[in-house]
Amino acid sequence: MRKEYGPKVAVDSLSLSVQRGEVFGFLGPNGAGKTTSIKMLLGLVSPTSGQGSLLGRPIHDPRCRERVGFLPEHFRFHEWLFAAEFLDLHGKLHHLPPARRTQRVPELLELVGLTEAAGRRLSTFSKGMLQRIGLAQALVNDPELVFLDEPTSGLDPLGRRMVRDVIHHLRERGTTVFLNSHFLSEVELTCTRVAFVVAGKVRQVTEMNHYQGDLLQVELRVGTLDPGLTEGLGRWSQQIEVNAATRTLTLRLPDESALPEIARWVTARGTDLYSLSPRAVSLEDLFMSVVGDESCEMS
Amino acid sequence: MRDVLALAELTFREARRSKILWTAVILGVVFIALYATGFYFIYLEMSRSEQGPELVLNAGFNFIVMAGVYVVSFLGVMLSVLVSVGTLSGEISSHTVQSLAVKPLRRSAIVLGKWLGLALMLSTYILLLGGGVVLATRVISGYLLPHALAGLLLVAFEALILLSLSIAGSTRFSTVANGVMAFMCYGLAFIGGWIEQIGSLAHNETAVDIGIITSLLVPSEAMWKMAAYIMQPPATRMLGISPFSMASSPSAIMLLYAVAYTAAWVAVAVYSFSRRDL
Repeated sequence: MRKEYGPKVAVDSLSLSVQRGEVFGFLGPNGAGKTTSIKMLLGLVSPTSGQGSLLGRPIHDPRCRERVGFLPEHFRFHEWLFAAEFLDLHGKLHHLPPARRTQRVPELLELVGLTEAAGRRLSTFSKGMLQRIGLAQALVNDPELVFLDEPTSGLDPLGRRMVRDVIHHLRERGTTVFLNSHFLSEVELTCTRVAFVVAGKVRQVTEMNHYQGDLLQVELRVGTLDPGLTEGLGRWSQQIEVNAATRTLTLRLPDESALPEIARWVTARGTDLYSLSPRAVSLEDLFMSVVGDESCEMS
Repeated sequence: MRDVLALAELTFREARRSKILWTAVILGVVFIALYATGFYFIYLEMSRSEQGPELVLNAGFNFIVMAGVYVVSFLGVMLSVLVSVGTLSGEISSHTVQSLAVKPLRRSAIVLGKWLGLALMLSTYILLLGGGVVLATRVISGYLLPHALAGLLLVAFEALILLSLSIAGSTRFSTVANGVMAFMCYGLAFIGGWIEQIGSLAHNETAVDIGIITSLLVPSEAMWKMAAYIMQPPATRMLGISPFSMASSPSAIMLLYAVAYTAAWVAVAVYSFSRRDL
């Protein structure tokens, strides 16, 4: 799909598919076209060209949203409504029968920890509470697919934990989640697959469990550095960074299976080994390596 | 249809919750009470001093009750624009419309729901307010305005014409721009109506044509003229011009045209809102 606003291209060519049951992370710098992409998928914005489908129905058919939930980035709703009334209204607009709504509303209020606030007006809610009730609203129809646009922005650590728990809960139930977030650590903890979007284009799609095995960063601190050491380690890693000041070498390995062997080889050749510390490459590292270069190119 | 009704009900609930409804009801009661008090004293004065024929007396009563209905008509127009002028544009700019538009409903349901909710509230209000004026007159003096119900329905319809225009505008214009547009349209129709009225008395065809063209552009004033014409006894019409007497009435075709005109603006509103990015 493509979206142009006059001469400005918001989304260049968005092409991706999300499988049922996935928790899909949609990452990218500000202005990459993430929100516009979600809006196109939800029928809020019509694409300049291209097409898409949700749960097997084309996006221009309102029925495709029967089993879809959405939490917008800047959550705003008719603030004169009471919390329970608000959820009931959204259930009604999702065509839930009254009996189902009577049952569903207290369930949702409990899920997001707002049972006490059921009879309060939304206008008296704090930002965090609004985000929680917005999340409850996105789940009112037991959706098969949920779009969450920056669900944790503006939340305190407790609230973020709640959102994460809800996402885990959804994942266990087999609900598909399309998550748009700046909090990479959050994405790391919850997503099964991520797409990196830069300047309205998908740059890379990565399986999360896959990438964790793929990239392990190992730091070795030794007594003395010599060319033979670097050369010898070359058989395990193509990429070696040497820091003479701290006498450390940084290697990239596919997984941890070679670690004992490396330790044995280093000590066997008479080099003193002070530490050998492996760590998984964080999503942030990956994000910077995919997005960082592009951003620099753009500017 | 159930979506339209759900959203109409939401519009009504919002008016109630935001105190618009109660403010309007309380001030409406004050308005009718004030009218009744004023009319009562005028009635005492007239029935004491004027021992003339009933025809003359009734013409006097008619003049006063028509003044009351005219104020109702004016208030109806003002209220219809005020409550609808930012109804969509406001929700678009505050993003509250997003959570409605992502529901499994057509965009048209949002527009039609708002229109229906506001139209029902406005016409009920106008009928009650106008009915109060007519009833107060009847109770105090025994004078009943001719064709009161049909006339008041036309007055309510006049407000719905501007409501439709203003809702269509609010799909694209900001609240203030749309308000200026809607009130100016009312102003044009108003002036056009008077040009036509004076033109027909002065037998000036150009003036009459200008009036007809403006009532085609905005037929709201034509509805008031029809209402004013049928609500007067024939004798009063022949007495000549008063601010509320009409020498001639727009034809039934004009009424049909106004209905089609209103439907067309509702259609424009639906089309325009369905096509825009939110």
